[in-house]
Amino acid sequence: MKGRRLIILFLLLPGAVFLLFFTALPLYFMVERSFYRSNYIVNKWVGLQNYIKSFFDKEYRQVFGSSFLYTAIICPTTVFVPLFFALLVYDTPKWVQTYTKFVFFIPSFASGVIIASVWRWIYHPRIGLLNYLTSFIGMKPVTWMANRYTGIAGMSVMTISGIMGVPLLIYLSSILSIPAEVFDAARVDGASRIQVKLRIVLPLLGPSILLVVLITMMSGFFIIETILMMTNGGYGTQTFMFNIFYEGVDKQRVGMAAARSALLFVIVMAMAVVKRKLEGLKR
Amino acid sequence: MKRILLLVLCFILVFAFVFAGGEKEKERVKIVIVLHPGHAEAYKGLFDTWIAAHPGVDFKWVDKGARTDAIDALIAAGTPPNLYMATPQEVGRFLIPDFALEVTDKNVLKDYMPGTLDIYTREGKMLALPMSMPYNAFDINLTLAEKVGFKVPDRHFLTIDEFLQFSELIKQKAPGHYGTAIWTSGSAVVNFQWYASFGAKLFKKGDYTKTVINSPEALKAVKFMKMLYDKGYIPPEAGVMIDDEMVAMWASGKLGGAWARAGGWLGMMYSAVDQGLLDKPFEHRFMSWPKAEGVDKVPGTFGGAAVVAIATGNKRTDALALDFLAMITGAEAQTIMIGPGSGYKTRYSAKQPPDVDLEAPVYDPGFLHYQKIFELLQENGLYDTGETTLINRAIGSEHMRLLQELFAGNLTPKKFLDTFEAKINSLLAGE
Repeated sequence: MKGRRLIILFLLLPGAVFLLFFTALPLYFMVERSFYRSNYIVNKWVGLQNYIKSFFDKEYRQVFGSSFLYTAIICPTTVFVPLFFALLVYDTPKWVQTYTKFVFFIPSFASGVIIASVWRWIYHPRIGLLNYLTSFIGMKPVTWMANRYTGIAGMSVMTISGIMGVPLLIYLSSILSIPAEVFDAARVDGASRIQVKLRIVLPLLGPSILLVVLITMMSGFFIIETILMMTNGGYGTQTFMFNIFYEGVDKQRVGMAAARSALLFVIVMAMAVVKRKLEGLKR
Repeated sequence: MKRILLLVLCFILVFAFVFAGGEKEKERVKIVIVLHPGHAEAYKGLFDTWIAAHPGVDFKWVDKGARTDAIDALIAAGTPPNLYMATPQEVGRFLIPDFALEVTDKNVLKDYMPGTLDIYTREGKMLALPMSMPYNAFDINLTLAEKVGFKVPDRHFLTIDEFLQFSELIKQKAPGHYGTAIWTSGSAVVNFQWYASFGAKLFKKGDYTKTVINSPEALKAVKFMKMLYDKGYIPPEAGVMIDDEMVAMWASGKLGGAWARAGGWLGMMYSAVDQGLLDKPFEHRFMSWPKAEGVDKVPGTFGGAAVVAIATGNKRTDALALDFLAMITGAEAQTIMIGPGSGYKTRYSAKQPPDVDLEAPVYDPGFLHYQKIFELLQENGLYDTGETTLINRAIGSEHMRLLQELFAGNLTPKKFLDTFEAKINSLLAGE
């Protein structure tokens, strides 16, 4: 028995060491640094000042709002648009399903910087595709990225375009795993195609929908390279992660960046608790 | 008798043991420099010569990495290098008296051209030395000027009024073209040139405890930038434009005047011609940035690299580090690196290529304007944008965000300056 315990401990040791050095220790140092005013070279103890300043900082409150705004746009869209297409194509020929998956996955093949470059052209106020298209309905050119709300909406669209492939796959796989007898029974009962999709398939996709919600519910918090390419954080478009980068790298306020990382950690943990409760519902 | 002889023998043995070992061999000293591998490659010959001239010294260079990872790791590990070669901002982090070694060699200091050492001074002490540096000048598109009927004066600057006249002509007669560009990301600190045009400073010489930007001259500059945007003399996407887009516009002949450099930038113009985006290369001339009335010189922004020597407390090591510092920033090192697009000398004794005769059978177009820009540098000097402060990058970022709000009409020019001043001072105070 003792020997068995030793073997178990021995097998767990590499993982534990890895977790210690790459998770626990960095977390500890991050929290420790958050109590200092620091630029790596000089460190001055300031206690909770970084946290207090963040709570009272108008710009940080704006970051808070922007991050949740991104999520509010990205999460529902990423949940329901692939769902719509999954319901549309699951009963079509295989080549249609394959083509749909391919189209949804194309943006995720390219790097974020390349995608952002293309979208820069689409949103360009003088030579952009979007303003060209809106000119047909009489709209004047708009500098889409020069406003908080259109900027956040525009960058959310960019992010959504790159992450819809996985939800589509999840939905299609779930639909394919529904027993054929269910569809046969529905057909026998005289249900139309739309009724089958909405009254039978959709409810059975409940757990998959919840899974996609769980995956995307924090999607807006961590956007960084898109913002770097499009607005460089201007016009109130910063997310939590971008703001941490900006504080730590641009402003060299490492202590403040550490404090905001700690705050983000708390927010993510709170959402993880919500996630656990939702997972309980799923079960 | 035997006892006395035995005692003498013991005494001789002890004496020999203690004193006959000779001089202790000097401990080997290690000199470590953190720098970009490209520099290490370019300076290999200099390194070898220096090592040969200093037997008993071990030398090692460490890859600087993309940002400050290497130096941060070494310092965190308690093994800082002896020298650090990096951008002025990265070196600026270590311009702390007693942390960085003070350069006191008068022969070295007087070899530097005026103004090039100012930003590396703290509390009256010279704490780093610059290498060669690129310098930014204002490039006027002569072909566009001719097209819109603007006569470019023979002197090497335009007045602000002349520049506005040129911009208005471009707006009227060349749709899709602009007087200049202002961008709000990347190298946005170059936009501070407009403050220089109006004689406004960001910092008083050597004093980085507070900014002096909130001045009547700076207010004129901010009003000027706002006017450029409102009148359509700069592209409407200025609020989100990046420097690459500005360069592409310049290379395509779309700008009347723009920040540019000799050398590699000209290649972008030829590339535009190759791709059919431009009929033929446009004629252009480098000038200093436009001058407001009453302004004598318009100093230029710059970049480049510098080297700081870090104190170890060991006299011999520190002396060697300073000697290495003088070598690596010296005339020969600068001569290796300077050329079109890669900078101008900061030391009098460095050799710099002259302009090349256009009629010569083989020439490098990059040298065409090289000497001209060097003359502008010598005449106008350098504009201090806080290159060596810890917050240099943040200054550019904050300025960018405020410019965006200014162009969007959310800030008046006065409020812009008040806010900018407050932000910089707050950052300088480490808040």
